[in-house]
Amino acid sequence: MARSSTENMITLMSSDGEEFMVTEKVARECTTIRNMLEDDCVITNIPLPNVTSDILSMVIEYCMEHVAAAEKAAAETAEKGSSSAPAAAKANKDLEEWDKAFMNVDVYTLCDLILAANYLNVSGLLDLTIQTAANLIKGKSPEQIRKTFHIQNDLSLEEEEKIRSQTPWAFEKSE
Amino acid sequence: MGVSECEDLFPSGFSDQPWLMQLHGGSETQEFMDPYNRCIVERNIPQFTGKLCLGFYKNWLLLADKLTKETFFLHRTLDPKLKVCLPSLCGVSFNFLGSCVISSSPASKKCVVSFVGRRKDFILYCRPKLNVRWTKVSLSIHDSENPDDQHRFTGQVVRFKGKIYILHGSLVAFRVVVIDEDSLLNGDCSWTIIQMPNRIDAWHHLVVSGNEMFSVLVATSDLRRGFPAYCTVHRLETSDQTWERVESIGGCVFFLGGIQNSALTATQAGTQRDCIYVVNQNYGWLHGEGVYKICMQDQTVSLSLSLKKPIRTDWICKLCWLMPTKVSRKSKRETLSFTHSIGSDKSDRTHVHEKEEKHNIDISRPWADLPVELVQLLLSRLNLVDCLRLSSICKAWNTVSSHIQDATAYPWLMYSTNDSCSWRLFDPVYGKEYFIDNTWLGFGKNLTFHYSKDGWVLASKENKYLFLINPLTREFISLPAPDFDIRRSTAMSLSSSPANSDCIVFVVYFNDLHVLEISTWSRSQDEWNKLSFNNELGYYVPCNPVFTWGELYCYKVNGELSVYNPTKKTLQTLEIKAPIEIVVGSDRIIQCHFMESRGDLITVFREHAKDRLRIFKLDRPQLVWREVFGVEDVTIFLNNKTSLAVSCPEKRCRDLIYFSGFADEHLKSNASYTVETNEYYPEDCYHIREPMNCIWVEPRI
Repeated sequence: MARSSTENMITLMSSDGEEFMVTEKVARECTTIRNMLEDDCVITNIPLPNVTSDILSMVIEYCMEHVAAAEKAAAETAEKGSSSAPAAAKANKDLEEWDKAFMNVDVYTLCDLILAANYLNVSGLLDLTIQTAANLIKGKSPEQIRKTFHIQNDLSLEEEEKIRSQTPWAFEKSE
Repeated sequence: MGVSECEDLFPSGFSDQPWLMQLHGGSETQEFMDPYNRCIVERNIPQFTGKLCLGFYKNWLLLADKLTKETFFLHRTLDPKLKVCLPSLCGVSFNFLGSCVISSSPASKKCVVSFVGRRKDFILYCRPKLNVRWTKVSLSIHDSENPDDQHRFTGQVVRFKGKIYILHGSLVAFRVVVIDEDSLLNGDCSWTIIQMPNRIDAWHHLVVSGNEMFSVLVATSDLRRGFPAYCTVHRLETSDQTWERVESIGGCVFFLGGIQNSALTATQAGTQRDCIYVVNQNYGWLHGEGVYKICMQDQTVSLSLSLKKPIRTDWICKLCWLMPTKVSRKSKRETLSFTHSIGSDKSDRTHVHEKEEKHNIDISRPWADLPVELVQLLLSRLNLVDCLRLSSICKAWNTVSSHIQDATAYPWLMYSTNDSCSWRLFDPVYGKEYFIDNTWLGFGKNLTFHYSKDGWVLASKENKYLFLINPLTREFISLPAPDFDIRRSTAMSLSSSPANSDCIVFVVYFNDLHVLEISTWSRSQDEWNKLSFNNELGYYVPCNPVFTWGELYCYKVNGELSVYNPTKKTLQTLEIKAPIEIVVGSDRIIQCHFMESRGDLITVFREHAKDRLRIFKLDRPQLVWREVFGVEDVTIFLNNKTSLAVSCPEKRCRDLIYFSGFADEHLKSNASYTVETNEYYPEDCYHIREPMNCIWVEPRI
């Protein structure tokens, strides 16, 4: 992962004041930042008031990993003229495995990651986090979902009954 | 020893369980069919050579020589000493001879054997130990209320409490003629008539079980001949001679369609309770032939035995159900605990508002504060039911409920069972079952489903009412009273979702070879609009037509398509070579399905149970059916009423074809087929249980 020293470095600053130096390429993974860079090419220091340092470090980790994977694939294609399908498939699978391990987080972190991915517009990460959350919902009863996501039921009994009564079959306990 | 010799002649296990026997009256072998283990055994029993089986009384078989018409009882041990001769049936045509009733053991002097006519109203009786000839009594039976009817004895007869009950039918209706046996012997052949439950397209069966008599109506679907699509059982209330419908036959098992109908307890029969085994008697084309098992409890049908060759249309070579002579030691071959599963379903259905668990509530409530657009993004990854549940989590998440109608949902199989204050909808992709309450409809029980589109089901009730229904939203559209016989009109279709104002309902009659009749209804009409078209000879395959490109496509056996344009009101024929040649009247078992997928017309054929499914797509510019060997990212849901091809839901059902039958006894997974590997699940088609009345519905709310 050697990088040329000529590569532009960008400083991202989290809401709690921590600074992260990243290559422009990694920063460009975030569409929000890419747009800023394209609007103003001399900018080198970007404050991100909506993202805490914990979460920003994770977003950067994600972007670095995906940039590295893409570079590796591009390098192989350049070397052999064309990328070999099995190698590409393996690389894809490795990246999927990495994503999966990366998603081994608690629901609070997951929620913050979704918000950060949405704010920074990292489509791959948004996709990954939303899918992870969806997987946590699938097949669960409302009670189980609330428990999983630590959500308080602020609906009144009547309101909830009204919602359920429209499609009662969807709320029956499944075995 | 005679006994052991005979055991060798008959198939092993012959006396332990019911078997179907077929004697041909010639020198050929006799066939013994085991409906439980699905095997057909050929035997050459010398005593049966040249004989026909006319009936039985317990262990006594009533046999007749086809040529000499010598008639005698032979005990199942085949012991020559246990033979009771009857007068010869010389001079009697077997073609006009129906079944018989035997009053008591042929060894007894009291024994009376009474045959009824078939297509002729007469009774032929004798007392084997006393009489040297048969006594023939011709009857002139008419219904005083309905003197013009054309009823004749159908050949079916049962004996119940000293009386003989004879099925008397015309082309359109059946009733029962009752004659007292003792009076008959004394020369008094007065009769009474009991009306009975009727259904024009049904096979009617009478069967006596213990102290009760039942009538069983079994009807097939026009779309799938031979395969029972309807079954009702009525019990005779002897006090006032009326029939009362029963949902269950309890611990009994009926064996119908042979020369004599029988009933056993499940223990005697060694099989599952509340079931009816019935021999298909339909000699139509494109039929499946065999023995079907109808399970009353969950209203499913499974093929019990596929017959290698068509049942001989010869009346006299009819199959004969033989009952076990001893109580099965191998009890319950197909053990099932239905009562248990149904019971637990019921308790599941009662909605209990659970006590909310007090879990650690986070004051920062990050998930509840997720921006609406992100909750919507979550919705897009969930199926319909998960979306509905998600919307009930909290106020914030409920704000997205209006977007749920876009939620992905793949077809569910809709069917009803006997305990039907609800329909069952089964989602094969996620393996979930939903109970949809139908009490709001008032008459949700015993509907017949005909076609489905966009979550709507075209259904009928009692051949009188036709309507559209969305089972999930409880929307209901009543259609004008049909001026046609719903049961006889073979195909129906819808142009679009009935929620659209321009939706057209099509009812197509294929019955006449030369005339195609199409009745249409749209929301602006008060009544049906019927059009007739001369239709150069052509059989239609028994599947519903498909509406696409603004026209209705009816698929013919020869591969051609009849295309009806509802705007121009024209019928046009597209001449296309058949993808698979179907010989009308042949005994090949062909299932054909016809559907639309993203604007393409697709047909799916299956010849025999284990054959590769063949899929053809219409090349519209070239007018050629082209075989396709993969379905790419489409999943197909096959059913004779509505087949659907939808964009692939999940990776695991890519390349899959779902059947409307269930692969397991508990109805928790659908039978399927993998296109790439040509593999069927389950491998053995006998394990498939199909609801008699079912349809694929795309859930839409």
